[in-house]
Amino acid sequence: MTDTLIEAIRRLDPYPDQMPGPPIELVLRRLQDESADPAPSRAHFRGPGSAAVAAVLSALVTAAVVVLAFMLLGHDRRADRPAGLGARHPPVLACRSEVRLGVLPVWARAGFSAARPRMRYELGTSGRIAMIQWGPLNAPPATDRNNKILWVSRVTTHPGSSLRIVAQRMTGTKRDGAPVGRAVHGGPGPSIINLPAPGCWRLTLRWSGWTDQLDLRYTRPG
Amino acid sequence: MDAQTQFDALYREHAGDVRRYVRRRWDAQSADDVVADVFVVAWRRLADVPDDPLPWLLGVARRILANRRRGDAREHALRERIRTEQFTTALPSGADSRLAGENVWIALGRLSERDREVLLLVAWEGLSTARAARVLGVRANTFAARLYRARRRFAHALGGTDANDAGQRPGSTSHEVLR
Repeated sequence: MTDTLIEAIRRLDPYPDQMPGPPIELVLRRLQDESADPAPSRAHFRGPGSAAVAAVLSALVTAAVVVLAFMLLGHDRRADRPAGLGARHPPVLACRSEVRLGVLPVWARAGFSAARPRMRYELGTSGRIAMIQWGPLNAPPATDRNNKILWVSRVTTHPGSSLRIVAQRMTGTKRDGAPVGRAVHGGPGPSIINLPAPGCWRLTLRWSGWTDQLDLRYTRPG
Repeated sequence: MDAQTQFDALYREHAGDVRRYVRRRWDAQSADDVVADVFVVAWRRLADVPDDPLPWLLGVARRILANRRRGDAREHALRERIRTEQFTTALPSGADSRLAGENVWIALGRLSERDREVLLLVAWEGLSTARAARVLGVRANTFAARLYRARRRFAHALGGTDANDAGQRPGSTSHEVLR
């Protein structure tokens, strides 16, 4: 029997569904800031008597941060960086689709008849939008099936405001070719999103004054 | 695997779980700052991150939150939620009415911070005894004993005895404790 007390507490979980992490730029910017002012409060996380080790680690960390900053600043980044980031050259992550098979977040279930619909979906990196797909995404499109995607906004939308997509093919952290634009008229909702070539695509989404971003992998049909 | 790749993988895999842990206990506005702090520590101590990183990351988050609470007059999110929750959680049919959302919130609010954290690591984070013990930096048997005592105090705070207590003693495996 499930522990009824634990289960009673579990029912109160304010965040029962998975959520994406905050933009990694928050961390990288902090690291860059602190590399200029090396006064970290590491004492809370390191045992006593490790001053020598701390000094060596501090030197290594400083070197690593410099290397990381060099690697990150060496890459150009799309102009549509998240608002509020002060860095002139925000870092970039390798393109990687995070589509998962699971129960949709509560806010993305509207229109589904099942109480806990289980779908393939991916959340934007800021958690403002969900991409729900009905099958593999193909480029070029399969002859017998469309690249159907349902977009669900977690945030308030304005009627008539389209969802505009800029898709950039990526090879790891590098842009590969020119970006392409797509639009979903009427805003987040059902759509068919075809892209010109297989590969990992970084989609920047804009709708009703909001932005979000996610990576999708398109494969050759068959 | 180089450090950046390792760090990227760590972030992608666990940042959401850490964020959820923090948001459950801290106000949403500054929760992401705490998450960033956690991963700054993780970057600095990448070589120390164990094969099962989540308990380690949650342990770091827990200590950061503890430090912030000491220097911060704000009530953190859990206390606030305990005060203001709308108690809309539905009970399964036939369930003990003592376990209604309102009663559970109030009972949680009566517990010590330590007891509450033990229960929440199991109930909300869904961690086994062994993994939850690593969050707190204690042995699994110690955690099991704390869980046993926390459950008893929670049951008492709910205004009754815990029928599930029979036969459960510290040292049980997590599976046994949770049955």
